[in-house]
Amino acid sequence: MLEIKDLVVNVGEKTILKNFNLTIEDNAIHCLMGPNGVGKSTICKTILKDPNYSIISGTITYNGEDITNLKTNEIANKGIMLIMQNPITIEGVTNAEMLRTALSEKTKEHIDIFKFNKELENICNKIDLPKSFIHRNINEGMSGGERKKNELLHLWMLKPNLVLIDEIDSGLDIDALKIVAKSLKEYQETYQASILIITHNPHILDILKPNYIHILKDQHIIQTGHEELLSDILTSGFNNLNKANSVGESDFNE
Amino acid sequence: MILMNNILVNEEHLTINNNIVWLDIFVDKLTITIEGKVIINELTTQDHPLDLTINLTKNSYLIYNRFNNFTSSEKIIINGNENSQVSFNYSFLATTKKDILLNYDQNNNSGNCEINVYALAKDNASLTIAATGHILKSTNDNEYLENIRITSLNNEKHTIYPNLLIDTHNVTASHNATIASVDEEELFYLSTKGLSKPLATKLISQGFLLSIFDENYQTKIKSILDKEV
Ligand SMILES: Nc1ncnc2c1ncn2[C@@H]1O[C@H](COP(=O)(O)OP(=O)(O)OP(=O)(O)O)[C@@H](O)[C@H]1O
Ligand SMILES: [Mg+2]
Repeated sequence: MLEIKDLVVNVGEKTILKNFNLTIEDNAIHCLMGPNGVGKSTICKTILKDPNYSIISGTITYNGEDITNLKTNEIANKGIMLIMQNPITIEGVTNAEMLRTALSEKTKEHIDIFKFNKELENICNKIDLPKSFIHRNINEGMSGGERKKNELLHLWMLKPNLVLIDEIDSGLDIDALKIVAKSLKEYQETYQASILIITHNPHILDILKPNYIHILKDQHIIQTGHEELLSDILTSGFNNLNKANSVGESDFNE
Repeated sequence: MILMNNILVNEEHLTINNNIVWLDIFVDKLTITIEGKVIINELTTQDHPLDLTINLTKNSYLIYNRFNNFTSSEKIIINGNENSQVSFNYSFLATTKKDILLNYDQNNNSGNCEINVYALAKDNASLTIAATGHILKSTNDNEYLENIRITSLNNEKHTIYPNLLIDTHNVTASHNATIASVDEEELFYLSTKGLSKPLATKLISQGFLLSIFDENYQTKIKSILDKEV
């Protein structure tokens, strides 16, 4: 379980998030929505301690442990993974190399290359990614959509318990969108993982069926609800939300 | 198909004609003449200074891949020719002071030259890389591209002198010179996958040095790199 309490986050001198509270229980799918530039990506990157974002006050705990001051790789190895809005290129470093290094770092065990390759190939089949991607440099020369699928390859290999997914739909065509959303759902069910997904895409949400929908505005979560909140947003936008539909934080903390 | 022609170079002159060769250079001064289509993969084993001249003949085509972790300084001169094409890819790992002088001279028409030099500086490395493309007067339709990058893992001073000496209007020339430390965004990305900073730095640095080569040459030098970075 991830618990964020009274978080204040700055970029430089500017406060982006304030009084930010969010709890994500095990085996649940949460969706975070909100207008552009409100701080959705910020919260994801802050959880993983992107050096551009500073935590001014508040705490982040994961499975009862305070992770507010841990390093990025330590948090990742506790089982939290971030799929970024814009996955970057790492020239000269292949997926396989990175994953092998990451897995041996995490497990502190020798990696059986044969099994490792077999698993990579199986995942490629599952997410409809050509096997050649295994030995391609990370995101180099990949289209926007391919980059997102490439991240799914990392997801299935690294097996985090909590996945933060930032706008995975951008760059995906209709078919790819379905494959990606189904794969995320399958992942979640297989490992009983938790997901925090940032998206405004109803097709993805149709497949994922989030347990909670949160609205981020004015630096914190102003409203939490279920499916019905989604239809409100889709019809009225973020400025005219019907407050009657919301449930309080405490409703789902229990 | 890969022909594995290993050549131990003990003489000062060498002519290579339509071939893929692996060169281990033992001499300090060497002139190579290129005829036809040639790929040179250099895997010199001994650390020594090098004064290398590459003469391209008319219509010749060369890919030269070179990687090392040597301390010695080097001077490399490439002489273009009519309709010659060369791609000179050099990456190195430096731990001490090192000077590199690289010249491309072209006094004919329709030549194409691309120079990539990627250097990783660590420990006590202080690098000076001077690369000069000289396209002579009254030549036409030449292309010259120079891309020099230093990734620095230390706080020493590094200098790149990119020079374009262009005496003609009918030429396409460009250069790019960058000196930077390991990219913070790349470090963050890899740490989100669970890699510690030293491991992420290692992968990024290795990848940087490998990125200018084809897969075949990459595989060869990976084993050397694994020990060194
Ligand atoms: N590294 C940064 N440097 C400066 N400002 C930043 C940085 N990161 C975020 N910001 C600012 O913080 C605010 C929140 O940005 P964030 O990327 O979290 O928004 P978002 O909700 O994800 O928006 P979008 O829906 O467009 O993706 C914006 O005003 C943005 O300009
Ligand atoms: Mg965003």
